[in-house]
Amino acid sequence: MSRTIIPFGPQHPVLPEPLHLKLVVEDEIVSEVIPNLGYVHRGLEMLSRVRDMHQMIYVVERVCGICSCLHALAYCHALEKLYGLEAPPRARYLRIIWGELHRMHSHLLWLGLYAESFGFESLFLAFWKVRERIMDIMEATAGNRVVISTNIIGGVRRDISPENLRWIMNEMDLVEKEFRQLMSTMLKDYTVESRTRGKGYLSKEDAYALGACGPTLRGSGWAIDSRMLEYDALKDFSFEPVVEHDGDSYARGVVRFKEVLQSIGIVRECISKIPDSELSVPVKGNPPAGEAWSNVEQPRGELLYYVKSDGTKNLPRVRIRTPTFANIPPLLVMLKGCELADVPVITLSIDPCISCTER
Amino acid sequence: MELSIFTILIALVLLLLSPLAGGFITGVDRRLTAWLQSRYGPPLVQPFYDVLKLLGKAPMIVNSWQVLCAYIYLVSAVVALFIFFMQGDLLLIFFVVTVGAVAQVVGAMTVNSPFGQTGAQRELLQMLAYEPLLVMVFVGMAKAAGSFNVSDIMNVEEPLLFSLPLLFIAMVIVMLIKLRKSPFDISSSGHAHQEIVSGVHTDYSGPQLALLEIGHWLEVVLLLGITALFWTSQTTTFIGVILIIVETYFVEILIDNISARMTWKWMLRTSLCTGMVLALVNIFWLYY
Amino acid sequence: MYMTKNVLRNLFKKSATRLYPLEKREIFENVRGALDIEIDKCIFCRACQLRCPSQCITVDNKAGTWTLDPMACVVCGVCVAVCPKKCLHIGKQYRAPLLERGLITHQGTPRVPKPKAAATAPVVPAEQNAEAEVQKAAVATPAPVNTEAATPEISETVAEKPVEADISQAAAAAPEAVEKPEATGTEIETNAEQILETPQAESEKTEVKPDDAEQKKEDLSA
Repeated sequence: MSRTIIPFGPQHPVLPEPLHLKLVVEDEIVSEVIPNLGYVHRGLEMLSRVRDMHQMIYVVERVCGICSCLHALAYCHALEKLYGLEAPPRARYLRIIWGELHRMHSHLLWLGLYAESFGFESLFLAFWKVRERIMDIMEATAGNRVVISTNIIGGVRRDISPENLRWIMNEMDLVEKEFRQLMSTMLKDYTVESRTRGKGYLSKEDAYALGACGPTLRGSGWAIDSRMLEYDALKDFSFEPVVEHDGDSYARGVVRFKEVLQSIGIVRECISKIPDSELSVPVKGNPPAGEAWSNVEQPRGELLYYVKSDGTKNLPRVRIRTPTFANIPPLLVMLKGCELADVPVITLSIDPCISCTER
Repeated sequence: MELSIFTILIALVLLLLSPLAGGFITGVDRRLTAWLQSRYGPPLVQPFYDVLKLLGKAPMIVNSWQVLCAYIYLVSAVVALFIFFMQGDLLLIFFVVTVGAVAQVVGAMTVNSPFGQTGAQRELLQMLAYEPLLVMVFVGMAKAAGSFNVSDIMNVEEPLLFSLPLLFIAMVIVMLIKLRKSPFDISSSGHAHQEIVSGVHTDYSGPQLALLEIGHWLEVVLLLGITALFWTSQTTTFIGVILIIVETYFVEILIDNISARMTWKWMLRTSLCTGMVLALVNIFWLYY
Repeated sequence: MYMTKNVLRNLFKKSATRLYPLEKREIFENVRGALDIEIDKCIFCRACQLRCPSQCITVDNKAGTWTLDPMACVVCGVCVAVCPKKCLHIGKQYRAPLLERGLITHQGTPRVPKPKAAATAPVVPAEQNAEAEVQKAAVATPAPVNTEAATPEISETVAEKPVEADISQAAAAAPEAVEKPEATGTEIETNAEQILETPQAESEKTEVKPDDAEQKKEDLSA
């Protein structure tokens, strides 16, 4: 019985961001996990003391590089609650279009990394090839591939022209076609299944008690999704979350896979129903004193923003609660008792976005 | 096996050309893998650039046993290939290659890093998986051709592929393991990097890593040569032999790209159960 | 096994990557590449400096320079939106890689003294000035009666003064302006001084008077 401590991370080829887990391994079975965070802490919440509330939108967007638009969306929601404003209808639809495109690109990125974690490089590159189409859409409509800077307090800054909307509809068809070609590999391939089924089991009670959120929670059988709160344009659609009941890494992968298809449907519906109106309501002066919070569904789970204002242009407190932070306790439970070869697969199955976790 | 000056000279010339051939085959490997993944790959001579760069770096060694083991690995690959080009005994080749592989394992175990230790253990398990299969392949060839000598095997009347088809499949499995391709790329650099960083090669860098690379190229040439023995005979042409090498290598790369990496338990199960069953069935059929 | 179809299909299709820089991609229209300014239109109001989230713009309106730190700029476009003269643009081309960290400084002409602008449109501004001065004089405490009585003369002197300022261009205008009313008598002399004073009060809100041209600029930039 040899007991070694293998450091997983912080620099590890499979992790997108640095996370340090000390694995206490006995004969290739993990018996304990000791986490260590703090490698990308940048202190962004404290910047609200020196930047005013309009400049904070751009700071908050850069908390995470994969889900950046949704951070800005949540912040703008919170501030609009403080001001008592509501964004105009076209802005609400545009926000959902960009938000769902972000969700698709994030899930495709994750699917590629997941495939790479069990050694399937060609599937990894195939998913990222599909993702390039979505990156092109972002670049053409918003100006940048990842950090799109379109949300402002009171609405959006940019419009999507009708030709671009038609082009996005076309691209959605192509994305769906290419994505479905990879469906049988992801869901039914023997090697993929034997690396992911039964690994990292999280029971339904554990998932709720430990505070999991997002696909980690929905893969264990709970139908909880923040989009059910129907913010922005989601009021006009009926939204059902995707749920799987197995609770293992395979189930979480299937949840995210099906969410991509669901997002394609939402984008198509939004484009066909988008109304005409102005893009934003003007915002005057400093926010009234008070506090507000907002809740948005990120690709990784539920994102909470708490904002406190004292009437000046600097907000004294912006508190961000990110989903990966809530998903790490379930990860520690999942990793106990697994084999060393499964550690990357299980760690990636919660979709760790460590730069969100340590802003 | 004749020991004339002529054969020795030819063997030496082929030996000197082997690193070049091995490097080119590795370059083609990377380019073909890239095309299968819908991208351009590195230039064909990239492995040479890599090795030259490694040779130019300052050596960072943990202890001197490591360096000795790297040299033993290279020397064993050279000797095995030399015997092969001299058309010598297959079993002798097998044992020399084993010495080289054990040297790699020992070199990884002399260093006290968890990745190296885990990689060394996995490499030993790999050896446990492919060595019985390789012995069975040689036994089948010897049975079909009458002796273990490469010269006799090359001179059979009809190609061995017709009488040893199942052993050919076993040989493909052996090559997948030796060439470190999915689903069996579990123990070393460039492949199982998702789990144990570089595995057996973690603590090597600079010139020592270049030695391991060149040794690997020579092993690739040796394995492709053994595969070619399935088609060499008095009736087949040189082009046919080249073709079988090319096709086999293409199949290896294809299998690499369509499957995920499996665990060592699965590898042991597959190779020992499936591979051995195929091999044994073929050999018994040869006997009766 | 299911991946075989995809992988073999890739052999016969064009590659998804391109051999950059031999082959470059056409850039989309709305791409936010790099920030640039037309310095001639800039009025150095410093709105861009105040609103920039990464504080990468520095404006010096005394010297008339607009400085950008290109490596700190995140090309968000806030400065483009708030610029009153619309002189900032974001171009499609991404900024070329820089070999060392440095600042890009554009030198423009600083804010022009007001008489230059008033002389080019002589009649109307003078009348407006006269009316404004009358109101100001009515409000201002020093000698209100005198200025009211001397309104038509004031307008004349005011009309003359900008013309003279155009010729004299700065400090030299002050003694000349004082000289003119002197010719008409001491009362008007004091009036002239008050006239000189009231334009000072007025320039607080709009333009700069010639006699105190440099001083005004210093006050504003302080």
